[in-house]
Parts: sequence; structure tokens; C-alpha cells
Amino acid sequence: MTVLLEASELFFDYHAHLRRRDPDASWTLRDINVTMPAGSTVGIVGESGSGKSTLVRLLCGLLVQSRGRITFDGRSLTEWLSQDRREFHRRNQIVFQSPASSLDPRLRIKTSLSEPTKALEQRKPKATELRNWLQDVGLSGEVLSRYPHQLSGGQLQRIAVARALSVRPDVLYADEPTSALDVSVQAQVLNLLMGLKQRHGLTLVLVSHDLAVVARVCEQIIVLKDGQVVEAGGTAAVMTDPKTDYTRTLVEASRATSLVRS
Amino acid sequence: MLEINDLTITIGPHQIVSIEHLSIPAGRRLGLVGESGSGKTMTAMSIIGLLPRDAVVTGSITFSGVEMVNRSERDLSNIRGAEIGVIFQDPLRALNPTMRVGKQVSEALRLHNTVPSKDVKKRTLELFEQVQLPEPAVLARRYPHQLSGGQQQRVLISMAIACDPKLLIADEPTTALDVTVQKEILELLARLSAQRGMAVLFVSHDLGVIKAISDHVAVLYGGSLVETGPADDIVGSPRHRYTEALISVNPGHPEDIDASLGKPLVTIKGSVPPMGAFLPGCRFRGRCPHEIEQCAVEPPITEMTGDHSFKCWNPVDPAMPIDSDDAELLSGRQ
Repeated sequence: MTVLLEASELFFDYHAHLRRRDPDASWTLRDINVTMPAGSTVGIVGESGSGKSTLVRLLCGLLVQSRGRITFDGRSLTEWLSQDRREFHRRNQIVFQSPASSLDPRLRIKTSLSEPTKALEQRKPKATELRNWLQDVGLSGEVLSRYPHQLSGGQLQRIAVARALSVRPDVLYADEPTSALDVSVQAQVLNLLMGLKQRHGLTLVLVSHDLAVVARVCEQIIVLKDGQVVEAGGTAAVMTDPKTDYTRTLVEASRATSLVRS
Repeated sequence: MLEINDLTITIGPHQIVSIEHLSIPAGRRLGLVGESGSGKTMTAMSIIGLLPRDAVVTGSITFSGVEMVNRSERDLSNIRGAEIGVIFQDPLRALNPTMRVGKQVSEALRLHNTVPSKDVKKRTLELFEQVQLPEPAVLARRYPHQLSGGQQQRVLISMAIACDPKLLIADEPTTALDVTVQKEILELLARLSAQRGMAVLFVSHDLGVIKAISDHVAVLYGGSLVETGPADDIVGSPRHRYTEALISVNPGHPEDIDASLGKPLVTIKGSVPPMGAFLPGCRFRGRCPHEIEQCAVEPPITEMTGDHSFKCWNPVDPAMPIDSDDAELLSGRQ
């Protein structure tokens, strides 16, 4: 499998401008190495504040690293952002945690759904295209004229996914896409993501604090703690034979609320 | 200690909750589970009279032998906080952002005159210790935004138990938290409940969480109690099809991780209908994969041994555990 994205020795600090005064201050992210083959599913796990979302934002070009190098499809991220910014963002799309706040409450679904195409491809999508995108995530065309407050959390998250996929990305980053949803709806959204991954040959990056969720979806798991990778590897290996105490805590925490009877 | 009989809650033309019977003995932990929109929070809040203004409540809720339905606001506010503690879902929204957290806990103590005012500060710090907050004296001087989500929830718990309540109502207290923090908070609540002989009503949409904390479970759907029983029975041998579905959607810890990887999870077909749009008869009708003709008629309560009862015409056969065939049937394909 070809490597689609590679990050080596990434360092990041939100207060990089203050580092000169205090060079020993702790980094938000420290010495991160990630390799993502095309078409793979990668899970990023860790507690709040561990740097999961920051890492995702670096990888999809929403933040710039302080040190280190990110390569996407053979070109460095710096080069992508200076020369082909639109194309890079088209190929790397993201879905956020709270569906209610990722859609503008004053815009109809139709308008929100058209935004990426307008911004990245500089054209207005046709009505049939909008319908097809919604169909892809199991929604009917009648939601197009609705406002976000008229829809349920699960429906909004589907729309957020449809919007991300409207520009046919290579990588879909999902940052805690089910944390704000009921468990019954969570299962629907995860199935949707797995189905779409298959159909569109996507590379899927799923961020979650819940190992149980990631273990059902991802082949590879990266465990983050305090901005550092404490463990990385194949899902079964990480889950059944955790190498660090922290991963063991995570496994136990998700096992505590498990209902699967052995 | 808490007993609910023939409770109905109506808002406008819609009856939202209708519960024949539900009780929590002193010192026990009851988990109330159901999806969003099934009436869990309404039921919990009706106990302490915190319902929307236009809600009409009939039936009876007795707490330590005292009737709570249609009580005056003045009586209720004496009971709330003192005899019944409450924890809400979002800790940041339940705390005053402009006041140091120590002072907010002291306020609860002063309001109900539980301790002489010279001891209020000392008692606040004791409470912080009981909920295992590190360095109570330092944390008490912080503002809510300076604490982590787990610490904020611990502050709220200390406030809820400040006046030694006999009952603690916890409405989705761990939903906004990480799984690791969730586990700690669940353990803390279980320990406090055991130490103080405090009854707990725990509300959640996640049966996994409910199972981890409760002795007894009540499954609510469409405002109706579809199954109640000891937690182990409910999870180990559910009878109602809705309970079975709630168990199946839990992502859980599969034995064979490689085999389950990438396989679709079990889902419940469709979604909870909006208020007033439930079909007559069994509320789960329309989403249930085991529907039969009889389901159009309201199912009777079937009592079983060991305090386990359910309302279903075509229940799960206890001899047949949930298997993958059921999973196939349940999964709502798009």
C-alpha cells in the first residue's frame, strides 16, 4: 500500500511565540510520528487535553507545526499550502464533534451543504448533486430547505459527513463524531462512516476518547497522552496486550461499560 | 423510600410519561435508561417539581412518606438540595462562572442551615476531600473554568451531597466526560451511596453506564416503563425487545477484535418519534423487528420472579441468548 500521509518528529505549541522566553515549557504535541497508508483506518485515542484534536488539525493543515515535517501524497504540507491550498483542503476533509455548532444556524441545509463546493471548486452544485450527497448518507432531499434546529443530532451529523464528502476527499478526519450522540445513534453514524469508507475508498481517521468505538472501526490505533504517543500499533495488539499502564487504563475504562457477555 | 404510582405527565395535548409503578428502596441505586426523547429526564425532574410550567402531573410520587405531586414551590425548594440532591449533565453550565467553586458549595450549606456558619468553610473542604478533589484548599479558590470537566463534576457532586440527602438524582452526569473520568465518577458515586446509605436515581441513555452503577434498572421508552428488574437480570436475560436492542447497540469489547473490525454495528431501526407521534399499543411498534399483530394493543405487565417485569407481547425467549441472527434483524440498513 502506498503511503498517503507521513508526519515525522512533529512538535507543536499554541504559544510558540513565547517559547524563546521559556524554552523549557512543555509542548502541546511532542515528537509525533505518524504513517498513514492510503485506504487505511487510523484511530487516535486519548483523554481530553492529550492533543488528539490538535494533531488532527495539524495533519489537515488547519494549524502549522512548530517543528517537524508532514508529507501528503509525496509533497510537503508547506508546499501544498503555499501552492495548492484549495486542492489540499479538497482532499482532506474534517467532521467535528458537535453537529449543532458545525452548521451555521442561520443557513438552510442547502446553503451549508453547498459551501465546500463553492469555496474549493468555485462552482455552485446542481440540485441533483445535493440530493445524491444526501442520499449517500441516508437522508432524503426534503431536509435541504430545513434549518439545523429542525433536525436531530444524528441527522445533523449525517449532513456534516455529506458536506465533507461533497468535494470527494481522499482523507476524512472525524473528530469525536459520536460523542454528542446517544449510543443508538452512535452505532448508526459509525456504520455510515464504515460504509462510506468502503464505497469511496477513503482513508479514515477517527478521533475518540472511547477505545471501544475505535476498536470496532480502525485497523491502527495511536494512543496519545500529554502530547506524546505512548503506544501505537494494530488494534487487536493494542487492545489485548497493552504495553503501557495508560493504555491499560483506557482498555479497562471502556470495558467497565461493556455489555458483551463472554 | 421513593415510590411512584400511576404517574402521568402531560404537556399540551401530549401525554409524555405514564408510569404505573416505580420505587427506590433506601440506599439502593436505580438506573433509568432510554434514548433521548423517551421521557427519562421528565420523569426524574417530576420528582423534585422541576418541569416546564405547562406540564400537568397526575398520580402520586411519595418521598419518605410525603406526597411530592403538586406541592407548593416553597416546600419543594426546602426539599431540593437538602433531602434530594441533584447533579445535571453539563457541569460547566450548572456552575456559576463568576464565583469561586468553594463559595458555591458553601452557599448550598448556608441556604439549608446544615452547619453553623463558623463551620461552613471547614465542611466545604471536608466535602471536597470526600469527592477526592486534590488539594481542596487550593481548588476551592478556583473558578469553574480553571477546573477540568471531571473536577467540575466532582464539585457538583460535593454540592449535591452537602446536606446529606437521602436521595441523589444524577441526570446523565458522565455523558460529557471521557471514558476514563467516567469510570472514576461512577466509582465515586457508588462509594458515596454505599457509605452514606444514600439512594441514587441514575439517568442515562447508555445501558453500559447504567449497568456499571445500578442495582436495579428501569427501561423507559415513549414515556412508558417497558421493563424493570435487577441490573444483572436486565442485562443478562432481557425480555423486552427494546431492552434487547439497547444491549445490542453497545459497542462493547468483542472477544475477537480482528473479526469484528469494520463489521457494521447493530443499530435500532429508525429513530425515537417526536412527542405525540408514538403509535398506539406498544410504543416500540414500528421500530421493533419482532412486531406481531397483537402489538397494536397495549401490552400488559408480565411479572416474573425476582422483581423482574416487562411489557411485551413477543418477548425474548430467555433460553435463546441474543445472537448474530438477531443482530442482522435489528440492524437498520440504509
